[in-house]
Amino acid sequence: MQIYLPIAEMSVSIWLILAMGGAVGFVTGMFGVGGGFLMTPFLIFTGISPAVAVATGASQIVASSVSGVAAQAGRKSVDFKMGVVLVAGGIPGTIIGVWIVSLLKASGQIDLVIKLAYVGLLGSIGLLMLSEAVRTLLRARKALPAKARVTQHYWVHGLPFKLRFRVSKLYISALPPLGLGFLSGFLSGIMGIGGGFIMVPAMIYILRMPASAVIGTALFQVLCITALTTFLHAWINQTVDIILALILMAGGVIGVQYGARVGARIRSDYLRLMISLLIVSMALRLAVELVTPPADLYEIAPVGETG
Amino acid sequence: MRRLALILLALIGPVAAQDDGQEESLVAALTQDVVHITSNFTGAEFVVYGAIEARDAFIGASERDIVIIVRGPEVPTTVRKRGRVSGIWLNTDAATFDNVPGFYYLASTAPLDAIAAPAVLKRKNIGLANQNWTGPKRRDIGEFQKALIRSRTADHLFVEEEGSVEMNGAALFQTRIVMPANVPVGDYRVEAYLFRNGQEISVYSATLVIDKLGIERTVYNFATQRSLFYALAAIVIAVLMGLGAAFVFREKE
Repeated sequence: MQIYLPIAEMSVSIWLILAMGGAVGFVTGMFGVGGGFLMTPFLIFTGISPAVAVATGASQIVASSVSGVAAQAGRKSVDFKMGVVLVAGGIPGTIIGVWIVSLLKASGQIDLVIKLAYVGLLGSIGLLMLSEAVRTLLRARKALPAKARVTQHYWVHGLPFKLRFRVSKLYISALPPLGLGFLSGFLSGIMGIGGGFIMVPAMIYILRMPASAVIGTALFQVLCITALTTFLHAWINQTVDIILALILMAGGVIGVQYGARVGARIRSDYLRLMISLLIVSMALRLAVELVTPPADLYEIAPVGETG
Repeated sequence: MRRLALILLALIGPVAAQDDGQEESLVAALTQDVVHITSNFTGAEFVVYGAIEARDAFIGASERDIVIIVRGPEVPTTVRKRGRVSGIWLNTDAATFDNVPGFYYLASTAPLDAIAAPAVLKRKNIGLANQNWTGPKRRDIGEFQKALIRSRTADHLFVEEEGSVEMNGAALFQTRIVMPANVPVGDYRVEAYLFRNGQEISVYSATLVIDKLGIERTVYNFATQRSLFYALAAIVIAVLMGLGAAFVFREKE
């Protein structure tokens, strides 16, 4: 069944879009990442312009994150205080990111910057997570007890402006979460992603949050940042296609529920291995794309984009 | 209205024609003047039809040819060229044409090169190979133009269907125009050219409007004219969808 999208100005298969939303929602619920790094390339692949794909993808992540947060909040695994600090850092980051995109669009290099950002970021974080996950799994196989982390002290504990985060059982400075929030907001504005795949490992390895609170809190932070991204794109660029978003959401909100359930049943070591493999393969695919000679050297720029 | 004009012209035409029988013209009309884009829009199909006005249409019928061109709204269009910089392919060059139609459909009774000489077609801008869009003055501009045509042709937005205009008898003609779902909205121009022995002797113009209707129009207007409220609505809808799903799934447990 075909449906015409009023903002994207093209006709798409409703089932294809539903399936995409479902798949991305499933990943979101399972790993606690927004899935934006999957959604944007998926949409562009169907022929939707990158600007509409980025903005509409963000609105879909809002819906699946709300659904995910609601599911996690019932299990008391969202550290709202930590979330608010992360979002406080994320808001200026997002605004600066969106502003940089508008500068790059004028120079015609936005595609390159987005792809390089994806390759560099997904590649390095994915590899880090992959090596960590493999090491953990090997250690678990040898039945060696993992070292207790709680007593460790390192630079994060020496910073001022300490706050108590009860759900995360942490007493740390507000500066690292503020900085992290800023970074993920900045990347969200530039790459059209929620930034969850950066937040999750950063919360585990830098903030040392307990794994039980990480996914719910990351979803909460992603929700706020993508809501802001959606708002800015819809207001300034007018690139949010609500019809497309509704179909994606319908698939996404269902997918995220099943994803969360499957995720709760799988050991977190394996979950981390799976998400790191997914991120690394995505980075590899984009890297190959950057170095492969294009089928046609010429390409028509999207309407309204010059230079 | 158009049919009435056609009938009127058919009545007046022969009277106005000169005795030598060489005075010929044509009139054309569309089966629809407006194409509405609604939520189930998957493209449009319509017929351009018309008649040749001559004292005796049978005289010299074999020397006549008809070319029909449907042209979409003209917009500035940028073509980018990629190059390899230290192993990575990136946009290294670009050229912007000021007046490229978003849609171009050509139908004719015969192959273009059999209808008129290249110089004639070039002067009249007939055929994709004979477009002269305003672009930057540079030696390789032709490559950019060719690439633009290649890309739009692949998207079915630029079409040349030579030989697709059918003659019904000596005076009546018709052709089917097919538009894909990604046609741009706006005002279209439909032109019917009458050629005789390689010379254009008559042209008839009509207009066509492609417009969004119903929910598509409402959403588009809301998004572009009230973008602040649209932005807020988009977030409210997203949050409600998420909460609704969470609620539905909790009930099931």
